[in-house]
Amino acid sequence: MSVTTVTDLPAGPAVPAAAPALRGRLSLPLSLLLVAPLVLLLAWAFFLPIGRLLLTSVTEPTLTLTNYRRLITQPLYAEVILRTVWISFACTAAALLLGYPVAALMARPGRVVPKIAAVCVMVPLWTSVLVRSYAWIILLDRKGVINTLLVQSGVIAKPLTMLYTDGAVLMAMTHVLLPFMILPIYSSLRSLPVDLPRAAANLGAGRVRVFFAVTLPLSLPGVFAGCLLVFVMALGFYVTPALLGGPQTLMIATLIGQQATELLDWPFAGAISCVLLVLSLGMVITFKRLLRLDRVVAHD
Amino acid sequence: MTLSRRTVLLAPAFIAATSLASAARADELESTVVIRTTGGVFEAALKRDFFEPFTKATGVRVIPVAASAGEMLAKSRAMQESGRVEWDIISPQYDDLPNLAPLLMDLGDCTSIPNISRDGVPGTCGRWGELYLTGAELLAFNPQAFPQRKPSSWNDFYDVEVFPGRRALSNTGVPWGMLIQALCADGVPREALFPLDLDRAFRKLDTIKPHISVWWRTGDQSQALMRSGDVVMQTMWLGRAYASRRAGVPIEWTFNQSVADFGAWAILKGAPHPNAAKAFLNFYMENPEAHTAFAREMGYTTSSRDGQALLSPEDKEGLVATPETFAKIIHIDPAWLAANRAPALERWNRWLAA
Repeated sequence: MSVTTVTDLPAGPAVPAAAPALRGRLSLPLSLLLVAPLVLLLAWAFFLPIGRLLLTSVTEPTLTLTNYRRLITQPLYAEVILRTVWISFACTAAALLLGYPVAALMARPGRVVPKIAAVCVMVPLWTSVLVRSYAWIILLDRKGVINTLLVQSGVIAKPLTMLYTDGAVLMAMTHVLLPFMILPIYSSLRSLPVDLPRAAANLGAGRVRVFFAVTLPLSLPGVFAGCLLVFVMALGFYVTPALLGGPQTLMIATLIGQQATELLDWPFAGAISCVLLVLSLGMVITFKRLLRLDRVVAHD
Repeated sequence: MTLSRRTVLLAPAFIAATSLASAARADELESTVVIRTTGGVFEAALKRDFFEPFTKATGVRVIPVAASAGEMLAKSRAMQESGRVEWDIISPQYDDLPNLAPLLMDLGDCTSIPNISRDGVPGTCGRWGELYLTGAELLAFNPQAFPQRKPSSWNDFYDVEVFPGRRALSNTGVPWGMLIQALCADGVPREALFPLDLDRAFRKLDTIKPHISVWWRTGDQSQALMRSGDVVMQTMWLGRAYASRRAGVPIEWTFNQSVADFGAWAILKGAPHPNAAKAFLNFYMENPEAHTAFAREMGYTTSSRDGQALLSPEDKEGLVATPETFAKIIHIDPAWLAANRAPALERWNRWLAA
């Protein structure tokens, strides 16, 4: 039943029905040949240098765990890692709350409104992170747009301090990462057979019940993918906290940068990077587990 | 074109011949020289006052490469480790030269760069580099906020009763100046500053932390804070303070207890164009008028004695251009920095984020 409806839908970014069609058509050697250039490029330009950097964290000056001992014994690093995880988590939650309705709007039938929503999501994505972060400075500054408006309209007497705070970083990071939340959710909502909510409504479910019993559970793969993308990207964020953050907003990427460029201690930078990498991979694996669980629930 | 057996056999002989020829002309200038700059208006001024005249005089083309201070050091080290040095001249902090010695060409007493002894201010020859730029990290303030008595040292910055108002310090990952200033404000005489008493410095910093409204991250931001009247006093780089004054912002500064922000030209070990690089270091000290023009535009004086002498009395007073001003500026001890950089920065990060 669901297969026929899926093919009736206009093609979304990732229509699941297309995948089985292609699968098995290419021979294994041909598939390998096709991915070989990318694998070689990644191996040479990405995995090799990163592997070397991470390796120096245990091999320099001699075979040692000193760098990791320093990470554990110096309270700074645990504190900053915790703060990074906390900010990333808050950012993910905010992006989910703000992003889901937008994705739902984009996935609605109709032509004009979804198109406008899609443009509003995509255009910022094509703008440099640096530009978007600077735009926030113009908005949040003590003499910036928001403060000027509020003071002139008499809402507040003295300008608020909004820039160089955790809140500013959180807001700007959420803004920058929002498309990575919206697009996967949109994709899973788009491939949702329209018959299912309709059938639920037919059987007497109200709009709220339809959403929580049918639409939301079936869009969970997109939600998880979006959360994973946003969280992992937020963990390594560098530019936005550096531009908008206050003294408290010290994130792990800033410390890695400091070790690599200010102190030239690459083995230690490698050690911090390794922790960040393990943290990110841990998140990916956890989310994958959750995702599989969800599939079982949804299909059986 | 096909490669014949003959060509292949002849190739090594040809290479040997050309390398012999280049060895015979060991001091001949190469056709280009690669110089690291900070980009932007600074690079434009360097081009106009030094790079283009150098090309005109010698025929050597200057290729400027923009990089931040951190990128510069990281890339210099990476180039040396990989054995493929692509830059000739970098511009690190003058006071850090001894710590960067493994990366840099040893100029000895600079006899190979004769113009240094002819026109350089004392100390221009820094063994691993040539002093090129003289600025300071100093106390800048808005004179309109202090009609009765102006702040004149870091003691006054720390005195929030007598000198009330919003203040800023910097958060650029380079806290040395602020540590030194805190100790000065706590009454440590300048001869007794090193080794820095970090416990004492942080105790003093604790007292001012609640009164710091902004921790600026870039020089541009420090200028914006003065322009908007957002703060009444702050730590600032001289070039930024000078640029604010030129733009008509009410601002004054003092060299009391200021910390050196001196830049050096240094040649990388294994630089691809060593002769042209040395020739540039020599040419840099050639023309005093170029130095005056550069200083007037950038707010950084340079190491040219005659160039400083040509400045107006007002500029001489506001810039690092007189022996009296030079004497006021505090230099960081490179040996202390080398031994304490990492733990002190760790402590600073933690203190700041707490």
